[in-house]
Amino acid sequence: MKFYATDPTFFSDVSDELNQESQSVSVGHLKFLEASQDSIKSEWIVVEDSLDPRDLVAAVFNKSISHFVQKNQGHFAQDLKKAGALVETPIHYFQSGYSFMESDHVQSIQIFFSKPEEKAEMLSKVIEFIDPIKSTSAKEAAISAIEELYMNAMIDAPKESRRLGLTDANTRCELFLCFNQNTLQISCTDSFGSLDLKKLFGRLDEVYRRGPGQAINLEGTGGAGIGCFLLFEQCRTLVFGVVKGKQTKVTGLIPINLSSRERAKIKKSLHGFEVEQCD
Amino acid sequence: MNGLSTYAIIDQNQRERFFLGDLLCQIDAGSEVLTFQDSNEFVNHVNPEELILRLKGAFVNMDGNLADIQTFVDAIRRRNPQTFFIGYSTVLELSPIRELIDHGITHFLVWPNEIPALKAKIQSAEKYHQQLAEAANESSIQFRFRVWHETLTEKVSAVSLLGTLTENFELPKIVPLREGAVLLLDCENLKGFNSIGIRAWVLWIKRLTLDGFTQFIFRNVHSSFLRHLRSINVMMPENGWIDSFYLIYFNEELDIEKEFKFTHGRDFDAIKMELPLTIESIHQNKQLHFVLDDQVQACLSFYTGKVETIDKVVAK
Repeated sequence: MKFYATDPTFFSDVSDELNQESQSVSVGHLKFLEASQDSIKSEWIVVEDSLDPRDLVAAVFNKSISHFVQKNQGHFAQDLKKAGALVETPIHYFQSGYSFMESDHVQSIQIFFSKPEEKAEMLSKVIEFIDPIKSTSAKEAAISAIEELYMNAMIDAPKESRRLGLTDANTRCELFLCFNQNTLQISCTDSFGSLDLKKLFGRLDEVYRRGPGQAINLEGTGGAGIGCFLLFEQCRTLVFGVVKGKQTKVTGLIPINLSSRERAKIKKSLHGFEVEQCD
Repeated sequence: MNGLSTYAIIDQNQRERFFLGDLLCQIDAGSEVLTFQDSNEFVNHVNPEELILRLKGAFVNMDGNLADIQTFVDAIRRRNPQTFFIGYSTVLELSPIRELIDHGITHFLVWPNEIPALKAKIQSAEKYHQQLAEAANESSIQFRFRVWHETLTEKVSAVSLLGTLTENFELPKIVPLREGAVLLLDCENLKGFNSIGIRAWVLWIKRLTLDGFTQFIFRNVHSSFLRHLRSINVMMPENGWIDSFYLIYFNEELDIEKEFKFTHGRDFDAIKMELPLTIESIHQNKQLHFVLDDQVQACLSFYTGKVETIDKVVAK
């Protein structure tokens, strides 16, 4: 990785370790990139260490950033490595069972569902799977995130697909979960590939700017981004990947061994990228 | 009603308890009715444990000693949660109703001197408890959402909410008996919402306001719902008040979370909201040190502006 920052110490804790990783990938401190006047390219990984969710979403939306990673002690090198992999070989992200964790994750599960009647069974399997996690609030966060991932995959994606004229999609969705001592990963994949990232980040930005209470759409389903807001609130990292017309995969990483006060201090990371095809 | 039912009456007035016992026997000729003047007499019954286990319903005169009634109700509920309770009084006043709701009395009526009113109240209480028991027996409340509605007085209605409000459920239409009514929302068993559920909730609160409820009391609000109420402010109506809530405390040594309940009047009031930052509590026979885990400093102003007792709200 190549590192760019006006403050030479900004990447000093990880630059030696990651020099040999993902050599084609550029990592830049947001302040440096803003000063450079050029528009931020999609293959850049943009880094900050102090943005709250509202400012992070605004930066991602307004500057069309695909990969935004924030420094968190203990996770930064690993988060950059994974972001580098997303930039270098984004297609791997769409593989079934793709894990953001090193091999130390203790358990994983894949659950498939294709119709609303299967939701209760899907949730039962999830509840059983995450039962060993001690923190009740982490488990509640996981269920809340899955509720929104389910809504995206089963309700919003088919609707948007019909609107875009992307027909004949398979309605089967895949939910993949794995966890280690620190993190629970939840990935949900649908076969529509109809997610419009610009629109999504625009809605999320509106929710944070106006406040969810003001941005809520009471006229009909969808539209206000409250679901995405609830999802992002639960996660320390959120990844949206789209293969247009073929697949949308959303992944949330939820910290599981922290008090909610510690969890609230974590600086979030956000990724949103599209690839042309996926074989 | 089943002919093998056993009922208990606690009433210091001998004439009244015999009269009520008589009515119960007229409603259900095969029933067994035991009358006591207070909880002491009940405890000194030849075999109170055996009696509690077969007790279907209990009637308490609310004009008596409230603390004594609460002791009686708590003792029964701990051993037999299926028992229903009906409180009665010559005049129903909010203060004792509020106290007794906290102890699990769910149904109230003015002094029962007519068989039809008493019979209807018993049927309502039986049905309510049957539904609660069925709900509690199902494997998980993650996939369900239920609302029970009860009119407590002409001015106050109460709802109990259970489960997770999602796209699969609807909230009921509830119309108050009069304009300017108060709705008491018991959130003890409310697990959560998804985004569709939040939208439905906001619309429901607006509907209730249009239909004549002007004040809302949120009771037993868990920390996850508190966070929703704070971040999505339209979920709590402007004329909504919290009278009891839970906050999460964390023990770092064992990595354990525990919710502690705070009640208006006992732990805080509308002016003073100084909640403990640490609590010593017993967990599995070990005294542990728990630290407040919510970002409570940031929330205190929100809570302080939104807490009130039901008496004061009704009086507004």
